[in-house]
Amino acid sequence: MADVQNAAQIGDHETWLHLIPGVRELDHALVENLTNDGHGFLFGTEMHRMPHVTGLILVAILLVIVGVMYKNRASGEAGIVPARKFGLRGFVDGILDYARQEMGQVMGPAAAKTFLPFIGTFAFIILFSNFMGLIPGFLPPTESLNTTFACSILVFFATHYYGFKVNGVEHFKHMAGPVLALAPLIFVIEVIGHLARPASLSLRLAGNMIGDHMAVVNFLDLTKLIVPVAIMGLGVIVCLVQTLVFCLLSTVYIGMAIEKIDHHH
Amino acid sequence: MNRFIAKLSFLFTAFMAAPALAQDAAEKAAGTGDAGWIAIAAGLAIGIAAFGGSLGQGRAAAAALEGIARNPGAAGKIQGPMILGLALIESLVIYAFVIAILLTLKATA
Repeated sequence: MADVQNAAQIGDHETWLHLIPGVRELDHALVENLTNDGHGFLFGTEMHRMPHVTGLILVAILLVIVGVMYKNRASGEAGIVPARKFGLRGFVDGILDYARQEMGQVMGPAAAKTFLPFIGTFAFIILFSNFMGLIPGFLPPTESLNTTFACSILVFFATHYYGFKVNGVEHFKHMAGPVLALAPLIFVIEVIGHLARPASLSLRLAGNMIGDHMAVVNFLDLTKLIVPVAIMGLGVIVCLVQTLVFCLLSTVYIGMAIEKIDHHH
Repeated sequence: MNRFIAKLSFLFTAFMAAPALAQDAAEKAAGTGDAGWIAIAAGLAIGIAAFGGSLGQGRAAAAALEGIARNPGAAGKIQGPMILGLALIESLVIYAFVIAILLTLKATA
């Protein structure tokens, strides 16, 4: 009985990624393991599927190809002048310029140059993953909490690593607040606040992607023509804005941590 | 115009509510107990959250647009913090959405 139900479930969620050899079997195994204990993990079995993992690997391969192509076109003398037409180089240049400009406003130009590889990688991975969900028959890897939490936990560790590197023990002392008597209270609140950051970063991104996907599915149930396209148009905005928000908030968190702490206030 | 919107929203609510209530009644008949109440709770959770969130976002967007109208040159500088603020407001609605999903999964389990 359970096998029949699982089979029906998988049949409903067939994606192009299932056509890759081995993915279907792994997906079956994953769903069975998640459902055997009676109740699935957070969000149930819908959001912990093999296509999310495969999709992220696909995004990584795509990004390596894009990177190699960009390097071929932008290295040497050709790299001095901007691209004449908007193509792959213009696209990558545009994203990097925008990221560097926005980061410079938040954390200063020097720090922006240091952290551009870190935040910029998130920007590309999240943007490509989000847009993968807009292609019919694909699932966005950022829809799964596993993907987004992996990204946000990296931001969490980077925040405290670089904060400790710049400010030393002061970085943790700063969490206790200026008044010693209130330190036990403030420190606990600060720690909770810091721990809530990766949770909110990951839930925001995954929740937005799930919501967008669900809206498209529900409108597809209503009518098959034209109307879902409008929702997918909104989805483009959601994908862009959520990428921007994730990267901007990561920049703000890291920027706050690497600020030099002064004792004159 | 307002009257038209009112009529439209009434029709929308009327026709959307009928299937929901029918489903509720069917589940009650099947004897699944609290599933109907959980479904109502999930709907209320996302409904109230979306209401509050949209009011907050409306205020933020209005203030930002007023600022841009007064000083169009500052549009670029206003845009970044505005999007950040909107995202932070929206994330609360997303938390409610997550809770609504969890409730729905609980109701259908």
